[in-house]
Amino acid sequence: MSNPSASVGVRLEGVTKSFGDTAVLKGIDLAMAPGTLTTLLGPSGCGKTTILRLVAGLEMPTTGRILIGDEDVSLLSASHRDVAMVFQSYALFPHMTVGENVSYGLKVQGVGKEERHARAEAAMASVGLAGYGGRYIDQLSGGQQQRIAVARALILEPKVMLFDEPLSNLDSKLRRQMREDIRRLQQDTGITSVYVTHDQEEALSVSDEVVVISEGAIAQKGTPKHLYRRPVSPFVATFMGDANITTGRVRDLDGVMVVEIDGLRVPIEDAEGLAGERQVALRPESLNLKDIGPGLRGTVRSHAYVGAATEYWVQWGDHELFAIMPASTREFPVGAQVYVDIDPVGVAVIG
Amino acid sequence: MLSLYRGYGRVAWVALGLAAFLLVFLALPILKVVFVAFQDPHSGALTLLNFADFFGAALFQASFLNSLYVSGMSVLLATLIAIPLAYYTTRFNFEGAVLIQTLGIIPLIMPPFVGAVAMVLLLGENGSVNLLLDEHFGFTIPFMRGLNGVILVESIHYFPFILINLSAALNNIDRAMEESAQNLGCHGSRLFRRVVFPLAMPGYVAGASLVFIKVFDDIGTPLLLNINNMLAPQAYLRISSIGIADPMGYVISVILVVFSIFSLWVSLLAMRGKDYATVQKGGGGLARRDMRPWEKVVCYAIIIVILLFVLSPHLGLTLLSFGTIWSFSVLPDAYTFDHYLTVFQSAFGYVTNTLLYAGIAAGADVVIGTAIAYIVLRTGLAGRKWLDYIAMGALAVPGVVLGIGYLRTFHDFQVPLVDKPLASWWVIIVVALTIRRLPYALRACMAALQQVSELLEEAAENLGATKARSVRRIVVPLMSGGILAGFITSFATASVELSATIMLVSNESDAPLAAGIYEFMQNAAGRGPGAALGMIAVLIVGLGTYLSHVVIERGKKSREATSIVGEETAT
Repeated sequence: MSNPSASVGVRLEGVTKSFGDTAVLKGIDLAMAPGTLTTLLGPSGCGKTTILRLVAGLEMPTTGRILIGDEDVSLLSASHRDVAMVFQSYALFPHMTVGENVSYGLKVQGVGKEERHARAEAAMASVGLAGYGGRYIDQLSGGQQQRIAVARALILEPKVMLFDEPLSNLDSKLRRQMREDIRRLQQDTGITSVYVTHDQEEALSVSDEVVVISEGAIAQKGTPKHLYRRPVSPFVATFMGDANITTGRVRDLDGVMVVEIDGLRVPIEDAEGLAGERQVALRPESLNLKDIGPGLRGTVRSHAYVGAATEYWVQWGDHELFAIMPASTREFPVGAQVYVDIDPVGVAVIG
Repeated sequence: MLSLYRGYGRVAWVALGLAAFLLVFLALPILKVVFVAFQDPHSGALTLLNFADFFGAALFQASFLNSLYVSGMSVLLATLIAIPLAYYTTRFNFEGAVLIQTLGIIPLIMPPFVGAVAMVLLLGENGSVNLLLDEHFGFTIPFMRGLNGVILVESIHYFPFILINLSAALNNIDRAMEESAQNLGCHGSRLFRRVVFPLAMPGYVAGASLVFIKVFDDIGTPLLLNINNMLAPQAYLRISSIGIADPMGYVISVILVVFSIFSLWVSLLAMRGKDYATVQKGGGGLARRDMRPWEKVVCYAIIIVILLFVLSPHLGLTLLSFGTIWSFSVLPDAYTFDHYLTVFQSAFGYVTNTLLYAGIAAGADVVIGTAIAYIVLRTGLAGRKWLDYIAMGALAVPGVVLGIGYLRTFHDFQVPLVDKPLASWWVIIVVALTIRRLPYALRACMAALQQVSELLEEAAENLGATKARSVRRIVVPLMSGGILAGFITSFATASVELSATIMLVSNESDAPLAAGIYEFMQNAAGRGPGAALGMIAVLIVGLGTYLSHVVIERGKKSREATSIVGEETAT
């Protein structure tokens, strides 16, 4: 496998893309560091897959440049870029065996049969499917197809790997496992990777950096933790996980930064320069319902038992707060007067 | 941008080549025909005089009315045959459904003109049936007298078009529609009139307009039945007896084209309206019920009568091909293999010509069809849709018209090396067959390409394959089932095509099967060998039809297998 130190970065400079009159990307500037995994996260139709296809060369930018390492590849056709893609639907060739699929890229390069075979075996082994070479695609399960798609891309030892919502067709258990496998393979090989998903949990768990895309532009980029803790807009805050958006006043209280929400003071970190009236995102997991204060006073509107937790909707003034409480805690009936306390971990000041 | 342009460079040349081919061999000849029809034959000035002459002549008036009458009556008779068959299969749990499906295919494997002479021997004035009727009951039925013969032959040949469309339309009707109508208090014949019939109408109209134009354009059947006063035969006779300068052939061509376009338009309009029958999911057709015993008797009786008529050309042709002398008798005097021997010894050239012509034409069709399908569906070339439109335009061109157009356009074009006018070189027959069958092959290729996900092509390019390579190694192999089915269908139908080829065969050694059958059938002595040739033609078409059915079914099955994966991978 390639040497991590040989990894190259990917850069998009002022890239726009229009299909007819529809502007899909409105000026993207993005640098992905060598050897990292960057996730493009956003709702469907935001343009994240278009960015991926531009890097792959399956679309050409309307304006702007795309660089892989120091090479400007903006005008290079897909077949000439050293970029391998794992397609959402896998796009495995149904008329070829698994082995032929995996070694197709090598065949195109003119690699000899024996070497092809050996490297295909190794690639299949690296995704845990050694010995599957003779089967046809329709004899594989969805998860196995996914692995083969990864192996087919990996075998070329590309400079860049692209993943287009690779896990969206798998069930949740398999998804978690594949997520870990992809992350491990990426770290082992050190191939710079771009990963597209609309699932924030997936994005947070696999990425070095997350780029949130909204309506063809970058809404925010940063480490998963940063995005979660310090979203720049309500859009990013809600997209990074369920959030109750409300307002609070950030102030310095004898050297400790706190945010005051309806009189309730919650200490927050890294809030220098944020003093004043701010929008605040409250994660439902960090809201605790209690019989006594301190807390936001409210009334339980409804609740739902969802196994490991109980979900509550609490009327608080003219807001409705969504809270998730561990199932081990006691239940509050509908109509109960409660105090909602806030765990500082789940408070994000927006801005 | 540069590489995008570079990628299209070669494709653009291919597209231009295809456009040039279609313009020269389809658009140009037809425009030429239309132009000549409006041209004064002496001065060359534009005029309506030819049309005035046409409608002023008693023969042409009669031909025009006869063609309308025969086409209309054929549609009517075909409808009367198709309705009970469609009704039984869609309305009842009927064990004979397979029988009806077979009934719907048998006529299609024999071109109508092949069976026409045999039909005269079975059902004509002095044919087997009337001889028996006269002997036992003292009356005869004029099945084949005059225009009746054409109507009968055409309708038992073309009713499957109505049957297939009507059955499909009935099967597409949502059961919930019928149920909600019943729920609203509508049932019985009122239900049929107000709900079922209107919903099935578009399918019926599409099938009926197809039958109308097929009959309107047919030239072999009336000619073999000695009916000359119809439009299409007149076009042929004027050109072949008076010459290509006579304007009447062109006037008739224009009328044929106008009617073709009109009926295609009607059928297109009808099919577009068809969508509303299938808007909801979980249709599954009308509620079926079991038949009562007496209903079964009636049903089988009707089917057997239809079956006898449908099989009569096949039966007659078989008898004719094995019979020694068959005249004024119920059955031939004796049986022999002589006709087949004659065919194999002296007339086998027709068969080899046909295999050659139809083979090349069908091959060209799928190559052109695949190329056009790819250009239209997978590239962004400007004006690419026009390739599709022009190729499909061949549907509106009757064979006779194309033949006349070629004669007129390429008469003066000497082919280098061969030293012959292009219009009388055998290759022009192949070109005519290619153009005539192209719309069908093109649809097959389009459908096949639509089954191949564009992502697979992108994946191949992503893995380093060039555009050309990914088309050759990924796209085309995955289309192969559809392409093969298109090839076989084109081959089978091209091998019995008569209307265009009859105009273009300049000497007998170049003649294909259909022309050979036509030649033999002209005189009484040639009927035996003609029938033997006809049997060979039926065999070729039958085998072709069966093979393409097998290929398509196999394709469906393998798609089903992958569609399980497909569903899992669907977003």
